[in-house]
Amino acid sequence: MSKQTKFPMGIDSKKISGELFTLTYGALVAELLRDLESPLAVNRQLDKMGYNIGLRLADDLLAKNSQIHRCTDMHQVADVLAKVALRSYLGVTAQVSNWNARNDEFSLILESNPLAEFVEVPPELAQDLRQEPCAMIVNDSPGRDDSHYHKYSQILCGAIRGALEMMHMEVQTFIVQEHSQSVEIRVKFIRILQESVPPGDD
Amino acid sequence: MNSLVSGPCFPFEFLHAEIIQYEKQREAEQIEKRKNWIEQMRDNPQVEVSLLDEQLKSVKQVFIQGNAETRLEALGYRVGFVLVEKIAKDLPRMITELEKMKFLCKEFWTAVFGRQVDNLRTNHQGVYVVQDNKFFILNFAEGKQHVEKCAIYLAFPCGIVRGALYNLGITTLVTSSVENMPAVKFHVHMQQKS
Repeated sequence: MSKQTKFPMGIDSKKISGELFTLTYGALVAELLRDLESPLAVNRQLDKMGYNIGLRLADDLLAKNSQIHRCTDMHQVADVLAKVALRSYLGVTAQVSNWNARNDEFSLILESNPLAEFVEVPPELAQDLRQEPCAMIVNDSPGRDDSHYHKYSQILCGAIRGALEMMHMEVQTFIVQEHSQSVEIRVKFIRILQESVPPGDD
Repeated sequence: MNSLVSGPCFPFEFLHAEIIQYEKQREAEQIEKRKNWIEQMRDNPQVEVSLLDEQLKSVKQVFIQGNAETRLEALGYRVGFVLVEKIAKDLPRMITELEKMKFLCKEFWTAVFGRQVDNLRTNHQGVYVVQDNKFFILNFAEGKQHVEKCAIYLAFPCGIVRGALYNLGITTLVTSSVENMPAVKFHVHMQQKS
């Protein structure tokens, strides 16, 4: 089965399968926007789906990449996320930048966004994202109110959060800005989750 | 299929599972809403019983159109409709129905589902049966253990096939059947052009 069948020129199975993912995601977002009344609810639903995916994706990633060792600080976590995780699941690598002084918060910058490959988010849904200047990065109060508008790639945030939770790290993730080409995701480390045995379960 | 498991397309399965989860949830919510609505109507003495029955019928109709499987199929339809354009863009024009079906089974299937179909049969009267012995979405289980539950996993691929064929110029009805887990039969019924 590993033998590739003769393809007419220009058809790459791997690429198309990636497009299947992209298009499916696009159809899902469109459907959610129709189903749910506010873009905020759509973001929340996407985040939840991403979280569920992330929980399971973490297992898969560690099973297939035995070279990943235990990470002892956030720099290593960021490296694994940017170089291994995003590459193996989305086919892109990300830049890690904008570390804060305490080294517990960083940005992942995806140069190209595979999820939004064929997508144009209508301006009335994406307004906020275009007007906000990048200076927002400096302001890192957690309760910031920037989620009134639809975030197309919100599922990525959920996935990162879910995957890191499987690694006992509680993080906050949100999209700082997304244009059609690049996405910037902010990841903030909150705390290590302690392993707790459920009562009565020795 | 190794390239499918390790390639960038792999999270598709997770995403698909999440979509199914969402649609199921939504369906359950809708059923709940409908129940409440019926209760409300029953309690309302002003409405005549005969009128209510009639209304119920139409509500049921609307509801059937909005159940999880139908919506998944519609989702797949959109995806298949777009995908086929990408794949068929550089190929010579296909004229006959059989040519289109062959294209579906070879190029389209390989590109989207990762392998060629194992068997294509037709009765030459507009019914085709496409058989895939190792359909990738059902890779997680083998045998008859989960056969009842897998129907919902096939609504989306059915939609993809229907959308693809529609964009090639044939209106079809696509259903699927499973007897033994990773093997799936897709039944493609051509619709008469009106």
